[in-house]
Amino acid sequence: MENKKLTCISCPEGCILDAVIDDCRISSISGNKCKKGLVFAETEIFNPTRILTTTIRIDSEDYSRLPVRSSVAVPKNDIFTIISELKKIKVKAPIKMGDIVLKKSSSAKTAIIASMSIEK
Amino acid sequence: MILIDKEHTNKECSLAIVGGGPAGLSAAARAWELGIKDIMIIEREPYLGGILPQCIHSGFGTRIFNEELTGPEYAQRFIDLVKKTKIKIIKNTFALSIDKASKRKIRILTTNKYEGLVNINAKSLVLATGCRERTRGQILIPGNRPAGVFTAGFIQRLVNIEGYLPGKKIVILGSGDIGLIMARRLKLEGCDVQGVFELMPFSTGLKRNIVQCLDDYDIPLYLSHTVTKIEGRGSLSSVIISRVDNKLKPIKGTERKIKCDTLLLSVGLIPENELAKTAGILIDANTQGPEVDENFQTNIDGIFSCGNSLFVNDLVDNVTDDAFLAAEKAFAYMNGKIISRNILVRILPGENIAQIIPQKIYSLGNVSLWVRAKIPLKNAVFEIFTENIRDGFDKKPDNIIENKILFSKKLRFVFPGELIKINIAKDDFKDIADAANGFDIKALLRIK
Repeated sequence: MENKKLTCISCPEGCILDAVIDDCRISSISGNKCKKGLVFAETEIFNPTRILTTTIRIDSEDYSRLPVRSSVAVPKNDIFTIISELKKIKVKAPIKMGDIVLKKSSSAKTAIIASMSIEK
Repeated sequence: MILIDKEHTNKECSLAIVGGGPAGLSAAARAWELGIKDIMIIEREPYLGGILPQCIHSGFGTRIFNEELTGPEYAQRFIDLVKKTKIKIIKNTFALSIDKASKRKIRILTTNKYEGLVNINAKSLVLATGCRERTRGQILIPGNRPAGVFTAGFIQRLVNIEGYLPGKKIVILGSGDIGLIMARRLKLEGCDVQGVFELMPFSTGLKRNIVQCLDDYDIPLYLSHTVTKIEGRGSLSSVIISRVDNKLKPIKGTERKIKCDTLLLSVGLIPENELAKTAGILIDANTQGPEVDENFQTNIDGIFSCGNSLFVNDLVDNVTDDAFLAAEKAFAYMNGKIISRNILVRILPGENIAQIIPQKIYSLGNVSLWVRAKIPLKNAVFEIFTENIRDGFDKKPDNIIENKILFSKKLRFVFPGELIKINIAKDDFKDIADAANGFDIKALLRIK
């Protein structure tokens, strides 16, 4: 049996969770104020993920960078690989919030999408 | 300096909003929803969104939209909403001064490069001018004045909007949210982030940001440390870091040199109210924002304040809520529904409280207070009390005979980085107001 202390990052509340791990499974979690804490503890212990955000180059009159994000959280270990993938690409205005700038691939298991609209 | 001249071009609207960031956009969207047809947003930048377009990280909107958005996405949702309406957006335009042209007419003198000076006349005004950063000058770090010393928000703009890196080897002073976010951001861009140094014995940033910005990338956080010297000729070459004692004074003999080419300062934000001051709006010394009542109305009738120009918020969701309220109250004012201008109670910050908003309350009703703690506390209690003074004496500490507790609320954890919202029901507030009987009331936080 192992006790693990985690800070839930699902929302700005930041609940401090106490998880008890028994035989590679979570046997109990306390300290969470909502259900999100349970899901967070499960993934954080066995496969931690984060939403990835960065900027990429854009061909535009008004802007030189386009903010982008992973559409869903990505495994923590993949972050630097995806960042180096994104350094290679350049998009062209117009672009709309939600447009895919990098499709799912073997190195990026989630799509990367535009965080804002750039008209020209 | 009042530059207002009757000769300038005049434009009319019913509601003017200065600032097109999250507060201004939210206020505009709500005002439109309420049926105000003639709304103008005055924005100095060529784009809307305020600070949000450069806050590319996620964590915005968990309450308002019930999903985790990035800053640009949060802004875009409101920009899309506002663009569907007939709200007039005046970009590239700077508001210079405000005055009251008549009892029910507020005049804003603006300037832009196309039209020169233009007066915008409005029935009501919402100030949503945001905040600015504290700089090296305000924290008095000795040493040379080389290039390479930046504020956090400025580096955020350089990296995320303009596409430049300020340097390669980074030292961060201040563990507020922007400092933590920028530590991760620069790490992702390939910089060597040496550490985050915090003067206080605790971080003022959100706990989630310590986990996902520092712990995730093994960036060390040094509490009770500060930069005591800046070195370098022309460009920054190193900083001297010292430990501080419990009075925050650097301890001799603890100095160590860290080589770096960039010092990022994340040392606090100050509400931006130079414009408000031109109208004679009273500023609270604690929040550095306007003194307001429960309607977020300033001491000048018809002028409301919200967002980071009122007080520095830690969550944009709260800014939207407060901006909605400011818009609703501006609407009520325009319809002649806000009339009471006699202070019922005035609330002062007491022990362990850095800020409390609103500062004064005019009428009976449910009351919401925003409270910022000075220090972290566990198992705390928030209390409101009046000081009973000996008959016939002045109000001096020696003459206080009794503190009468009027309201109390238990709080499990209290952090300076996280604003506390205290809701007081109408009946409870009536009891407080009756007991205060015209005297100021005070609020405090203590360990239970």
